[in-house]
Amino acid sequence: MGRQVVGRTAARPGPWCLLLALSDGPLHGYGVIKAVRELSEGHVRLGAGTLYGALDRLAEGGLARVAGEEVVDGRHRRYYELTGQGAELLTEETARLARLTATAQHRLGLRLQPGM
Amino acid sequence: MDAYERRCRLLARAYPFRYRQARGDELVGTLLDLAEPGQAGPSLRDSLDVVCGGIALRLRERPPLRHWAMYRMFHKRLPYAYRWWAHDDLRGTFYLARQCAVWLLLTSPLWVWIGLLPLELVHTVIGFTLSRMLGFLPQRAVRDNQLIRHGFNPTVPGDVT
Repeated sequence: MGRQVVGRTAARPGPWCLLLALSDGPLHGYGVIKAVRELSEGHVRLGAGTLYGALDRLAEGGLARVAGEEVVDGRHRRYYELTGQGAELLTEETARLARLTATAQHRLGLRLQPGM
Repeated sequence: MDAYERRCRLLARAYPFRYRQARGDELVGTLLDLAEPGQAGPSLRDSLDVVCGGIALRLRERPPLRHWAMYRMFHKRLPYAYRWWAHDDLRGTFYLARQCAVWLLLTSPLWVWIGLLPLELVHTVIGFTLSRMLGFLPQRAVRDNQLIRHGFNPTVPGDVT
């Protein structure tokens, strides 16, 4: 189940960014939205509906869980954190993306060489 | 509660009742956090995102057509995986209206066909049957029995027997 969730990251950076955002420690909904926006350099802008749908899927896949809740200024906040399985899959997916990036750079480097 | 929060709570109604009970405050809190200073309501983008999220969740939880038709038409029990959908449906404000509308819609070809028969007696039978059916469906006992059949306590919302 978890692998299915992360398996979609090849086509969409959203779930991977979401896992990466949670890797730094527990975050509440708005914290996740801000972290994802920063990590993606503004390319991924999660809305509240998308965020909670994605968090539900991560939780169903055993990749994230609720770490606690509190009320701040009358606003209910629930904190989410990565599970061990989530952290493991994030590491695997990051390594895969790093290999993909290295391959892409290598190919682009060959194309950009003079005389090619 | 200001106008912004009222709009957020209105948007949250796109989600099923049970989801709103469990996560509604959190969702509204996040929408309030997303507000820019001086903003009168959630942006169009955020609003659409919440509505789409709610509709997607409702569609994801919906039982397959065959089970849904048997549940709606003949009060059959839904498979266990959809019992919370049934709970939301049975506790919903417009449950009886939905039930009657679906009954009339699905049986309308039959009534039209029978109605075309040139017999006064047949018309009387149709009128009597329809009035009996519409009188029977809205009974509170039907809803309570359905809740019990799905494993819920009819007197306490969300309580599992």
